[in-house]
Amino acid sequence: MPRIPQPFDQLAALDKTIHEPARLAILTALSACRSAQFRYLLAITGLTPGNLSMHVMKLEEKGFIVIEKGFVGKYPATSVHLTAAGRSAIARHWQQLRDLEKAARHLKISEGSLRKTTRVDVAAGILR
Amino acid sequence: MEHNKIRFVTANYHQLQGLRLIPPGLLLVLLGTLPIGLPPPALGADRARYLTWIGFAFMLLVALAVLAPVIYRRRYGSVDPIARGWRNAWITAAVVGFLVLGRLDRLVQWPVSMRLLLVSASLFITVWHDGRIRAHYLVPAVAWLVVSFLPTLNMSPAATKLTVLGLGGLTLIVCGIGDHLLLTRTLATPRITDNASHPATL
Repeated sequence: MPRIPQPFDQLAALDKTIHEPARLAILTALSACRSAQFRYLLAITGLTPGNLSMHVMKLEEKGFIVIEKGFVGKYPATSVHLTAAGRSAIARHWQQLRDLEKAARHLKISEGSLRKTTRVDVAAGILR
Repeated sequence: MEHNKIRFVTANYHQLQGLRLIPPGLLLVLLGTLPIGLPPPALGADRARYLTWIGFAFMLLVALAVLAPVIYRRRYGSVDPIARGWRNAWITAAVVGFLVLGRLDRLVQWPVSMRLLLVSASLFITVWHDGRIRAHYLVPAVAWLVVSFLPTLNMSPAATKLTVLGLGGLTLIVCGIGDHLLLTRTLATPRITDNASHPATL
């Protein structure tokens, strides 16, 4: 069986829990602060409350975030922050995406060079 | 959504609450216009009424400045930022530099105002550091660069004060509105009325 080219290896190796768009947005936002309120995460992701709750619970199960329930004055407030594991996981994930982008660009250049070489060889063959 | 924007807006959530800058901006514009546009009456009931209106405007602007963060907190919630000591150090250095260069400007009488150049440089550095997302800082940066050549025009002290305070106020207003729009266009209005998690799931 032919070997799958490198960028696709890297794509397949991405953590699906983190890579889901809503969860990636949540983790990216949390990586830029110490903690954020649930209301803020609703605003930054544009998700519905139920949808956000589901994603946040999934991330908590994986140990990437901690949910804290408290009060601001008389009003209940839920805030979320990354664990150390979550912080390193999202940093690693973004590094993988950057490496993937570089590998994909390199693949495109290599394929372009290969196509050019093939055309020259064919032209040379025809001329002979 | 663009993840760089998510990171930037979250990391700078408090700095982007631009409505906080508008009341001090209006106050600076008001202070700049006072000696020229609104000479206070000398005596009597007119002077008392004049001072009452100035005092009222001042208190209203202070109240709005205090109220602005509450509006953002109620609408979008709050974020506990990562401490960035370099930002506070930079702001402190800029303020100290502004005061020191102001003294030097008065002593040395350069053709260009060094402290106004510092203000312009600070705004340009903000655009360079933050990128296109803060492009609205460019207009005040250029305006301060132009105004730093004021000493060459030999303007009267009152006109200079009007220009500097007025431009300072307009800078705060323009930057405040730009930051506020950046924040509100990035953040969707949440569909719940309080900060509690959704009761059905958490």
